[in-house]
Amino acid sequence: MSRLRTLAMGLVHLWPIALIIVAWDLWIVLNGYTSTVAPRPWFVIADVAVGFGDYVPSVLYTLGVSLGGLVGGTAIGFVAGIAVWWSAALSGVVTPAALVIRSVPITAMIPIIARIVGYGDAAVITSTALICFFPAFVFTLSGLASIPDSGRDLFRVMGAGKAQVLTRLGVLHALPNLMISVRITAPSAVLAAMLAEFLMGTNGLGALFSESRSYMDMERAWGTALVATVASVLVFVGARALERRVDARVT
Amino acid sequence: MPPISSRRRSRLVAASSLALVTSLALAGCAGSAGDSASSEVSEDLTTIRVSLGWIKNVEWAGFWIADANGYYAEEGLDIEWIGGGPNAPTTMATVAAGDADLGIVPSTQQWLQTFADGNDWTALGALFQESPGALVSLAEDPVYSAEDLVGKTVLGQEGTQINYDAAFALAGLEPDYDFIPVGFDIAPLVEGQGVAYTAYATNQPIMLEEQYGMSPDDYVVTLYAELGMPLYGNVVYGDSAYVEENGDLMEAFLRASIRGWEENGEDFAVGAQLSVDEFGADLGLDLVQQTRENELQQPLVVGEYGDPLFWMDPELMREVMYPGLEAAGYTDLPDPADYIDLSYLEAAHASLQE
Repeated sequence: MSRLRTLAMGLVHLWPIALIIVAWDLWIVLNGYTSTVAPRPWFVIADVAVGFGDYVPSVLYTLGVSLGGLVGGTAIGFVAGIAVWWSAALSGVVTPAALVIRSVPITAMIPIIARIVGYGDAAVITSTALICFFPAFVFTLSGLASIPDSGRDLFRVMGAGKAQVLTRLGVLHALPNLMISVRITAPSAVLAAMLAEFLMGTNGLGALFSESRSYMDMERAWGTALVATVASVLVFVGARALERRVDARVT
Repeated sequence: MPPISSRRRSRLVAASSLALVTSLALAGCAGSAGDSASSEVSEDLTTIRVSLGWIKNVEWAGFWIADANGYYAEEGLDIEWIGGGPNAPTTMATVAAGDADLGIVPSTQQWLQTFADGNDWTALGALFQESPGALVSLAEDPVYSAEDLVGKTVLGQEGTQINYDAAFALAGLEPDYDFIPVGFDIAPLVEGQGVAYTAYATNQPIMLEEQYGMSPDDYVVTLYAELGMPLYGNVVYGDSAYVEENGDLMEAFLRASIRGWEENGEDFAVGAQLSVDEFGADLGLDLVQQTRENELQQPLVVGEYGDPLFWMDPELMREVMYPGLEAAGYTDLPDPADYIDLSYLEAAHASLQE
């Protein structure tokens, strides 16, 4: 019984979403728009429900690419953060490069990326990784910077080298921070993957959106946007759960 | 599920009230569809808002000439040109939402798809007698027909696969190619990433000439018409109710536009200059490129059917153009006689003959 109540309570909290759907429908009906302007939500939801099989490959592809880009970008950011912490010389190389990657909009970089790694899947994953790289880099660096002096002094007195300070102390401090960056960038990874797919991919939600638009299939185009929104939210929730588990382990 | 704190609850309430207010505002702001906002300007000119299916470049040269020379003003019209672009909403969406009175749509097949959505359009005419849509290939590995594409990698903008499919179908072949979407940049073709690239015959070949120093002998342009898909392009259309109510305005708009496009054939630099300096001033257009594009597009505007400017022949569409579209998999195509109304164009041409 209590479980049912919990479920009911959970559903009640979804009312803002219901409100948005009703407002969306009203906007179309009151203005007398055809689906060329915007389709009614019911038709979009029906398209997702009935044609769910058509969406699945695209969803899986986009999630796969997002995950690949997220893991790759986070790993590169983590290594780059350690490199900067490790030596001033490396810092002089890595930091400007990181700032360039950060300040140039990904949309402008996509054609360049495509030239370097080739069009298609490689370019999509690379673009996603670049989006995820910078937060991981910054958070790793701040984690390493927060190693308490007392801890480091103790390690030094016991005769630990730089590498041991890093592996036995630094990583523990950097991990919770790294997980924050994962949580923050996970939804952006989905967005980045979709953007790259939209511009030059052959698979995934971004390509599906672009294709539906060119065939004037508005229900499918809006359905793709809807599915992408849900996927982003789920990815965020998943990343948050992962963060909590990792934090529980290391702290 | 943890109990919701009062602070979170108030945040939820605030967020949802905001959504409600926004939606009410949206509903309130937007006028009802179908009412044409012909506002009166200072000199008692009637405004017609025209949604263009591409950026404000030389593709609209004849309209710019008519506007700059005051031909629309002579007709008592003030035209508000609404530019488009690769990621702008379609002209159909703009016109259907009541944000424009007329639309000029590059892709006739896309436009035909929107009849099924409950739109009631009337076509007044077509600017391009032959759509500039084409496959561009390099002379060292030329593509003249679907046979040249079998088993090859091809390039284009996302959504143009349908053209490749149709070319195969019309040649009686099963589609057999790999497609890579590369956007509007023809560089991948030059780099040999594919054998063909979907382009506008009036646009990307110029890039090959200007950026890669090629001569017209170094590349091959195969119009979709040559692949069995002849089609009008840049169809001028409006909501049927609006067109019927404003027949005189339609005739006047076409009359001024015909004058502009006739003049465009006399000197290609004029329309290009207007695009670069005035109508597309913020686009950073290149005068040489725009002039060359204008030179390439005028033959498509004049066409090979021997029809007057802006002409659309319903029978030609049904008998010659529709089979190509059907091969491309387009179904439920409306009968051209149901949506083409040439009376305004005929009246405009007749009055210019006098």
